[in-house]
Amino acid sequence: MEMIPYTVEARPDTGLYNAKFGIWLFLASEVMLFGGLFSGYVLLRTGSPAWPHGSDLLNVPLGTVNTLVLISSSVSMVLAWVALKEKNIPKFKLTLGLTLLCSLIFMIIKAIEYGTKFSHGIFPKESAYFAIYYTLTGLHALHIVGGAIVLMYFWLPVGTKMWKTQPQRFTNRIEVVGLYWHFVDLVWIFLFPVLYLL
Amino acid sequence: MAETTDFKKEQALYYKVFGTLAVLTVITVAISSLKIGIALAIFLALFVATTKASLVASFFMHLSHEKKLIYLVMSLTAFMFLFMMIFIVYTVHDVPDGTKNLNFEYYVEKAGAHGGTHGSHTETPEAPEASGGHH
Repeated sequence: MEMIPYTVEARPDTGLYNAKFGIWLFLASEVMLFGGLFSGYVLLRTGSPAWPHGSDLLNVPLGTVNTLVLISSSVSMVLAWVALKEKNIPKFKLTLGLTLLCSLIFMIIKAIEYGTKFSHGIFPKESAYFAIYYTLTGLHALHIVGGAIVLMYFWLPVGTKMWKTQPQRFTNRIEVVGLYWHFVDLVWIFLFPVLYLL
Repeated sequence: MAETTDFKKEQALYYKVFGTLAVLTVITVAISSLKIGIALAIFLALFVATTKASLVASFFMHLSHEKKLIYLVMSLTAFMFLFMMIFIVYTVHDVPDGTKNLNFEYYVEKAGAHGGTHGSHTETPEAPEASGGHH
């Protein structure tokens, strides 16, 4: 019946359950994906005779609110994991629901920001600044959407039903999706000052 | 990780980290409104961002107490990442002849085309105020 090995117990040679090692390897590749784009930003900026100040072009208050929203979503994500360790399902539903709500608020604010720019006819071809702005924030937003879909699955009964049969495995799943979610938050922590404040 | 059984304590820690992150977010926005040189502004912004990122990684991603293998993988990644950034900074002046000039003409043209006709809070990227970043 059990097809995937080491979903709960640690593999002796790694000391980790497989999914946890897997997500960290994936996050390592994500560091290089975003890192490549960040280095592209440095190259574009240093190669340009002039570079705009982000606060002249973007809405800093909206960006600040979005930063706080993502930080909040990270806290509620980690609290959802604690709730499972406490075997407190209502609290898990509440905290994971808050994480989902935060992801929705983040995307709405991002849509408002994009929409305002589009309505002014400002697209990636506008300048090197906007090209890298749309690329970095667009890729980040895709990560939010992807993460939110997975979180939604775990929040709905179809995902949560594993709790009844394999509680530890379900807790591990939430830990793993949490690690991804915190990483997406971490990327934004760098994107915000780099694009909005410098 | 799961070794902790005192969940109240664990939660209190997460709330503290959250408070610190929120304060640091406000601080980094406040710093950006100061009239300081671009070099100092970049240094401070990256310093605060790195501090925030370390907090997220250490506590939310519980990297502060993780297995050796994960440290190994992430150290290798950090090394690769740093090398990539160092290479980029090192090759900043390796720009083909004329490339920068072309780019400059584009900006001048753009600034000229929009001059005067485009409201006060213009959305064009001319803002040369802190012609910062380039050496």
